[in-house]
Formats: sequence, structure tokens, C-alpha cells
Amino acid sequence: MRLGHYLFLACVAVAIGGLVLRVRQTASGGPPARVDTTTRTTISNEAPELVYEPTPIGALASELGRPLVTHVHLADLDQDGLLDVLYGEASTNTVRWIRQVSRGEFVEIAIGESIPGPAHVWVGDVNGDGRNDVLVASMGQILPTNERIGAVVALENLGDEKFRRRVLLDQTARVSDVRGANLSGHSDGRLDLVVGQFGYAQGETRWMKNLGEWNFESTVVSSLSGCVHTPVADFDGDGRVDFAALISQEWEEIHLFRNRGRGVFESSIAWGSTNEDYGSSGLAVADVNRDGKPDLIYTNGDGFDYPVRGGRPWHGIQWLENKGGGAFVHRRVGALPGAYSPCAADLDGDGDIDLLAVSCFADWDSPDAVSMMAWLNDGQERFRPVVLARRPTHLVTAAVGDLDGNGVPVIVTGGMYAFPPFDNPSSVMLWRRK
Amino acid sequence: MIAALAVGVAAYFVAAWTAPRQSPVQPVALPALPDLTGQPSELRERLQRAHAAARQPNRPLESLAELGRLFHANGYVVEAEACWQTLAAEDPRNARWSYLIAELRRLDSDNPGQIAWLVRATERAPTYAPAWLRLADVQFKSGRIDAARQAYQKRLSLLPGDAYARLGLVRVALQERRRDEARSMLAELVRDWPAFSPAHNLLAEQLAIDGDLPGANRARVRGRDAGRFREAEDPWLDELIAWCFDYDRLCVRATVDRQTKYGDHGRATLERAIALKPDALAAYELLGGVYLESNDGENARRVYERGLAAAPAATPSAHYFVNLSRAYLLLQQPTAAVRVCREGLARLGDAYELYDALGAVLLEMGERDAAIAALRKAVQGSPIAANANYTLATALIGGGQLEEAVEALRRALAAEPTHPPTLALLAQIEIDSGRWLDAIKYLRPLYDAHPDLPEAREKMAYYYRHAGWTAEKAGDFTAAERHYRAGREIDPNDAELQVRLGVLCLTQRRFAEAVDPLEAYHRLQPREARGALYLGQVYAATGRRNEAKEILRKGIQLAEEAGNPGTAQHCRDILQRLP
Repeated sequence: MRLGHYLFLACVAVAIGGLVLRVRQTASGGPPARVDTTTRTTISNEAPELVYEPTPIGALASELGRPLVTHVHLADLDQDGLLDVLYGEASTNTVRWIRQVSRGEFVEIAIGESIPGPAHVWVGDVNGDGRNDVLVASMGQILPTNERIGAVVALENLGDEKFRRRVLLDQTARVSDVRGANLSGHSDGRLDLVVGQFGYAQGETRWMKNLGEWNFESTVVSSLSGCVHTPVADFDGDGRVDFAALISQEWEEIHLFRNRGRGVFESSIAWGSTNEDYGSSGLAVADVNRDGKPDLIYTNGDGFDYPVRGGRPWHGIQWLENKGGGAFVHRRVGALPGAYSPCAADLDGDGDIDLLAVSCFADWDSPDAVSMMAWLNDGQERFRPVVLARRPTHLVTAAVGDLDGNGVPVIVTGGMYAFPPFDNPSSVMLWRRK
Repeated sequence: MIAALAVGVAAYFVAAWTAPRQSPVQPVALPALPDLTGQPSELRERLQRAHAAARQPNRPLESLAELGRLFHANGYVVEAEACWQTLAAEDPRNARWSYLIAELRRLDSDNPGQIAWLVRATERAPTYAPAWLRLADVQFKSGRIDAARQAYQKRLSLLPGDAYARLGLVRVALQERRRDEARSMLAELVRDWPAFSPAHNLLAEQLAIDGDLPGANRARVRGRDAGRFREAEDPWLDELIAWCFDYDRLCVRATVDRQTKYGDHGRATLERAIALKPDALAAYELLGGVYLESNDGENARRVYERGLAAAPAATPSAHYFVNLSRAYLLLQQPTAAVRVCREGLARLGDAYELYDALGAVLLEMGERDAAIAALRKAVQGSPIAANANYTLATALIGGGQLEEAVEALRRALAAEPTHPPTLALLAQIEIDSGRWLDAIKYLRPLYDAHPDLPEAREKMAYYYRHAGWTAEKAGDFTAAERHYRAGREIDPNDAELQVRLGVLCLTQRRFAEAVDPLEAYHRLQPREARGALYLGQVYAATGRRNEAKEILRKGIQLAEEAGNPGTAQHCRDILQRLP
């Protein structure tokens, strides 16, 4: 009995102690926070910890009418040590370079004109001449169509802000992504191309081997429609560059193409959703858990094809943890209606990788609708959502980089106003942390 | 103290070892009702009734199932799962509960969870084919190809010939690089299921990879015409819509039905949505669109007007007014259509869509100047709006303002490079100006994008006729033949192309090659004496004497009936020379 009493009293003491602790925590919590039901985030009543101030750069929204910025990309195009912003704009069918001429000062020029439906831009030295070129994925038109009006366009950098336009592929399924990568083991600086072709009813993913002198040899590696993005990285750590493909439409899958050398790519499915309305919208590479293996960050929020636009309950962001050997594990991070453009950066300066996404399709009539959200990593890959912006609306693309050269990430966003409401348009905005 | 702790730990392990084994599925406490503020009264009442019934001791399973369906269908996923988990524990033989939990896992992107619950469901209901398809798909998307194959084959054993299972097996074959096999399977699949678009689309890609471009193009057109992909029927999930009182979910469901042309295209579902929220416009707009698609102007008008009356505080979109004006046009009431556009502009301000619609109606009414003014405003608001630019161009052409019209057409193409009416009109402008060869730069993309469009085929054939004749006159017979052959490939019923090719081969003494086009010409123009003459000549030259005699005699008769003695004489001359 004495033993039992000791044990009983020990349990009671622990229980009482826990209760006291919980009461004190609750008492110090202040008024209860409310839950934003659209994003399933708790809206704290404390002052926000991450506040960003937007500044428009480049062509103003008013100049473009209803801007259709499709993609923003940060790169030092002129190799002057200052990051620039490049973007595609589909209402004018142009590719534009917002050049950082001196720290914090930006000047825009159009470097590619009459490129129909420019959906994606990428900067790199494709021909190995030491100058960064620009690759453009031309969809032909941004709004849905199955016509084979896609093209891969290269803007060869001739120096002195001059570019020569080269069409590397055309009359093909609409091209949504193109980027350079050394897939063949070139030793002269040449880059091959990875091409994603959304198409519509039909589409493809291919790679194009750089034969030199701007000649390429194509190989189709997937015949599925809906390829959105084709990020590249050495996913399996064997020293050869691989690539992934985000396939949307009715498929909703992420395919991995592991480079086996000599032009051979082994295809596997990294992950897929059986929700054919999943709305895959963006895929990028980031080492989220800092284990040295490139992971994939992934948004789903597409709404281009809906007569009733707006979010779905399953829209949001996730990451696929790279377990090595081509294996990935899906990790859901959070909800965001209409989510697009996953980005990764240490936003709060605590040393780990946070995530960010924007929204192009949400209930914009609601003042609570979110257009940009961050998820802060606690260091253990548990993420806490933080609303960064509710206006401007219709943000479809974002990029994060150290434009100010001070180690603090700056966000750049682009707006696409293909659907109403049209009362808060933005073209390209630069967001600095306050 | 240490001894006390050790005893406590030992006691714990003894207790755990002797406790009865528990089922992996545990009944979950009945979920509390969530906050139902703002929900439709019918949903609130049914949930409250179902919740009260489910709380009764010894309640029947059906009362908890009713509660679960209401939660599930209206997006209360946590509460729904609690109900299904409890039912799975209390009614373990019923596969439906596991299946519904799997569905919640699917929406939560939890593939391993989905697989686990689908395995349970298929164990309990091995003949429920939809479960096997879902299991196969999620296995495939999780990289478990062998397991996927087995599940697809199981579905196929339950539903012989099933398109979805066969598509899955095609994808397995492609993943395993068995391309030839995949292509054969696709060819059979499109033959058996001609309305199953993903099969055509995949086949098109495979044919293109193999270099069969004409075959790929044909498959692309069929894929496009077969419409959108629709998920396989699933009664256990499909029935949940009857428990749905969520306005947005009903609108989405109706949209899917409309886009896949299923059932009544979402009409009944949209009427339910309207009944739930009569002061919201989205469902009226969608329902009106359904009626417009079937050219039912009266019902479309009625729905749109009903919406405006029921929701005076809501702000309609520009497209709402555009579509209402279209409904009036279907009813041949252009004055009302104009009125609606002007009302929309008054309410919404300058909306390019409304100026576009207004301009089109005014143009049809013959009010060209007013139409041009409206269309110019439309284009000002959206310089790349293809339809507005096209309509402006047609108005300008009617007023003789060709240069501005061509500029408008070029703007339309900048936005939509294969906008069919713009391409056709630009081609016609070139043709009318005598610039036949320049027309090809518009005709070719028009035909490539829309090979089944009669106007596209007709204009391309006409172009090739003209191009061939021009080349012949210039003495470039190789080019002429190339054009004639390309033209008859596009339109084998163009008689003139057939006869020109046939005569070209005939004059070059390539008699065997002349037979096919001249036979085609005679088939298309059986009363033409010259066709009989030419065909008689090539039959004679290729040793087909009896056929030559027969056709030449016919030629004589046709020529005499047509008052063409010269042709009749030529036929006689050849006939006489035949042994």
C-alpha cells in the first residue's frame, strides 16, 4: 500500500504540475487568435514578424494595361556583379531585362520582342562563349489552346546589350519551360537544353543536345501533356545532372529523369496525386533540410481552366524530401488557394530554409484573401505560415535573391491579370523586408 | 524511489502484455458540430438532426453514416473522418467506410494512407471496380509499378475492356519502356473507345515520336474532338453530391459535368446552388452558359435575368452582360442585346468585353460607324483581344479602311496566332489583292491548326490549284506537280486539282501515274467529256484497251450532248487507233 501511495502521489503531482503550466501558458497568450479559413492559418494578434514593403520596378502596370507577367527570374545577365530581373510579359509578347545599373537602381529594356506567349525565361551561357544568354519558353499564347504554336527561343548575348534571336524549336506543343544544363558532359562550356511543353491535350518533355553552333538534337522523354516546369539538379548524387518534370493536366505527377550518361535518361515517378483537379502549378529545387541532397518544392493552385475561379481546399505548397537513389517522400507544408511559384530562402535569418509562394487565383472579393505567404522553418522542417501580402492580387510568379548584396533576401513578384477583378494590378514588384 | 520507479515500470509492462489485443481501427469519439454560422439552413438542420440521432445510445449505423455523409460532402473532413473511423470499427465488414477514408486521404495528398485504406476496402469489397482503379492509380503514382499493374488487371477482370484500366496498363508499358506494345494497346483502345480523349492524345504523341506526322495530326484532332478527360464513375463517391449544400462545391461539380458534357451538363446541380444562395451570381452565370452552349436563347435569357433580379446588390461580371446579350441575339432581338451591353457599361465602366460585344451587335444591325467606335474602345482597353480586333477589322473593311483593318488583324494574331477567322480573312485579303503566294503564310497555319475546318481545306486546295497553275505557266512542271499533289491530299474532292495533275502526267507521258487522278476526276465530274477523253488516252497507253474503248465511246456521247465536236472527234481518233 505504501508503494502504491507513492506511485499514486507521484502521478498526481505530475498531473497538477502540467495543469499549472498550461494555465500559465494560456493566461499569457492574450486574446485568442482567429483562424483564416481560406488558408487554414492562425492569424495572430501580435505584430507581424515579417513585413515587406513593395516597390514597383520596370514597366508600370498602367503602361501595360492589364499586365500578364508570366515569369520573373533573377540573374546577373551582364555579369557586373549585380543581380538583375528578367521577365516575360504576354500582353506585349516581350522579354524584358530590368537591369540593376547600380545598387538599388533599375533600368528596363526589352531584349526580346514579338515572342508570342513568353512563359519562362532562364539565363545562362548556352554556347560557351563566356556571355550569358537568355532562353525563352514561348507558348504561342498563354490562354488554353492545343495548337502547336510553341517555340524555344534563344536570345544570344552579343555583348553591349545586344541580343540575336534564334529559334531553336518551333511548330511544336506549347513550350512552358526551357533551361540549360550540361547533360552530355561537354567540356567547352556548351549547355544542353531541358524543355517542358505543356501543350494542352497533347504535350511533351524533351531534352536537346547541344551539337554546337546553335544546332541541337532533340529527344522526347515523356509524351504526357501538361508539363509545367523542368528543374535540373544532380538528384541522385552521381555527378551527372538530372532533371525533373512537373506534369499537370489530368496526370498530376512529378517525373524524375536520372542521367545515366551517353544520352540515356531513366524515368521514374517521384510522386503523383490521384486528384485530377490537384492543380499543379510550380516546381523548383531547394535543399530544404540541408542534408546536401536537392529536394523539390512544389505548389498546386492552378485555376486557368475554371469558369468559376478561386481556390480549392487542397491548394498549397509541399516539398518532396530527397531520400537518395531517386526516392522522394511527399511532405505537405500548408494551404494557400491559388498557390504558384514555390521559392526557398532564409527569410527570417535564422539559418534554415523557409518557403514562400504567391497566389494567382483566390477569392479576391474577400479582404482576407492572401496573395503572398511564407512558411517559416523551425529548423526541423516544421513550417509556420506567415501572411506577407494580400494586395496586390493575381501574383503568378516570384523569385527570391540577394539583390541588395547585403545577405537579406529580396522578393520579386509578377502579376497576371487575365481574369477579373482588375482593380489592383501590379507588373513587377520588388519586396524588401522592413 | 528507484525501487518504486522500477516496480512501476514492471507493472506497466505486465499490464500491457496481458491487455486484450485491440483492433487497429478504433472508434473515435463523436465529433462535435463545427461552427455552422453562415451555412444554409437546410444543412444546419440536417446536421443537427443527424448529430442528435448519432448521439443516441444504441443508435443505428445509418444515423452515423448520415452524419458522415453530410460532413464529407460539405468539406468538414476532420469530422467526416471521425465518423468513418467509428463506422469502420463498428461495421468492419463494410468496405464503404474504408473507401471513404481513403478518399479523404486522397484529398489530403496522403498516398500511403490512401493505399492502406484502399487495400482494406478491396479486401472487403473485392468486386467494387472503382476501388481497384483508385488503388492502381495511387500505386502507379507512388512508383509501385508492379502493384499498379496487378490492380489495373484486377479492374479489367471485373470490367472487361474498361478504358481506364487499359489506359493505366498503357502507362505501365510506357514507364517500362515497352513502347511498341504501348502503341499497339493505344491503337486498340482508340478503336474500342473513340470518345476517350487521353488515349488519342497519348497515341498522337507516340505516332509523332515514330515520325508518322500525318497519323499524329489525325490523332490530335480526334483527341481534341473527343473532349476533356472525365474520371471514371464511382457510385460510392458520386452519391455524396446529394448531401452537398456547399455552393462553391456544387458550382465546381456542375462545371466538371459541363466541361465533360456529362448528364444534364450540370443544370440540376446549378439549380440547387441557386436555391442555396439566390443572391449570388456565379451559379446563374454558369447555368446561363450551359443553355447558351445548346443555343437555347430563351432559357439562357431567363436565367441571366433571374439572376439580376434576385441579386440586385451583387456586381455581375462583364461576361455576364456579354452572355445575356448573346442570349438576346439567339432570340433575334438585337435591340435588346444592345441595351444589355449599354447597361453593363453603365454599371461596370469601360469593360473591353462589353464594347466588343456591343460593336459586334451594332455591326450586325448595319450601324457601321457606331460599331467601329465601340470596337475601337474595346481594342483600346485590350489591344490584344483577338475577337475584338477581328470584328473591328471586318467593320473597317466594310468601310473601305483596309490598312487599319490589317493592323487590327495583325494585333489579333499577336494574341492568338491561330485565330481561325483572322487567318482566313488575312488570306482572303491577299488573294483578293492577287497576292496568291503571300496568302500561304496565313493559309498554312490555318490549315495546320484546323485541318478539319471546311473553309481551311477549301482555301488551301484553292491555293495549291493556283500555285500549281502559275508554276505550269512558268514552265516549272516539278513545282506544279508538287502543288497539285499537295492540294489533292488536302481535298481529294477538288476535281480541278485531280484533272490538272492527271493532264500534267499525261503530257509528260507518265501514263501510269496519270490513271489515278484522272479516274478521280471522272468520278467527280462524270458528265465532263474531256475527263473521258483523258482517261481513255491513259487507258490506251497502259494497255487497258477494253476500258479505253468503253470510256472513249462514253466520251463521244458526252461531247456530242455538250455540243463539243472537237472533243468528240479526238475520242473517235483514239478509238480508231485501238486494235
